[in-house]
Amino acid sequence: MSTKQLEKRQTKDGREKLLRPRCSVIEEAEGDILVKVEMPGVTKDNLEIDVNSNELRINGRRPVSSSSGNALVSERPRGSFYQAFTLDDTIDRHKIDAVLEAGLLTLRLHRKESEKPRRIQVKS
Amino acid sequence: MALIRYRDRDLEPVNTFDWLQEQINDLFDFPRFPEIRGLFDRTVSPAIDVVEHPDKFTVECDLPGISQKDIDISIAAGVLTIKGEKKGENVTDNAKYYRKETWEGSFQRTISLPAAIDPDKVEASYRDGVLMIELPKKEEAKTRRIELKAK
Repeated sequence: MSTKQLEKRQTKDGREKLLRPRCSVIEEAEGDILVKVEMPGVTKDNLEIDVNSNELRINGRRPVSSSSGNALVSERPRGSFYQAFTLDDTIDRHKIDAVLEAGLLTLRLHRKESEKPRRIQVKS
Repeated sequence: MALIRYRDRDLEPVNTFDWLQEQINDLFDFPRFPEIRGLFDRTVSPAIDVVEHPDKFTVECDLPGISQKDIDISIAAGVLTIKGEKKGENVTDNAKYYRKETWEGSFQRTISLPAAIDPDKVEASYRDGVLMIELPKKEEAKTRRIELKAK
């Protein structure tokens, strides 16, 4: 199958196929949430992360390889990555750090200061 | 089993078969388990694309989140081997996993190469989590265009 045919298959119904990336969600002992999303081939410029009230959306587009040739093996999925998460009220919307390194996106979601465990000092 | 209304798509029999195949492919498109492919691949083997060009073959492999020094590529007796190790997340011991779909550990993938490859000129690069290997063909195996001479 030629790469041309593969591209045609991908955009047959007029839109790009959305792939769900593999992801891990980890809560650290300090309360921060780590979200790791595997998006091979996505660069910083092609990645969009949006927070809209209580939804976190991750959209990563992969550049379509323009090289023409005869595809002998084609196992890598084509399309762009999309994943959405619902955020609960304890997450600080304004304090989300994102690092993209070697196709692995790591998001660190911080808890709101008011949600962190606190010890109340007893006044004498 | 409930009856499902026939989807009023374009009534092209060929498209219907295409659609059916897509549905079946999507059913098995389950990215949760790393797959094992190939007779000698007894560890996780990442997905690859192999494309033949007139002057070279290219192999692309999805390897997200791996440091470059952990990837080992070798060619022996016409077999290209990509192997390495994916390090896990460095999280503290009492971290809680809500969801874990990413895998860690060693991986290996072997590809038999056609005889026309020049093993000395193979180049590999790793960018944005995608490994790209270029395998140039030997001079005599390249596609040559033969010019017609006007007489």
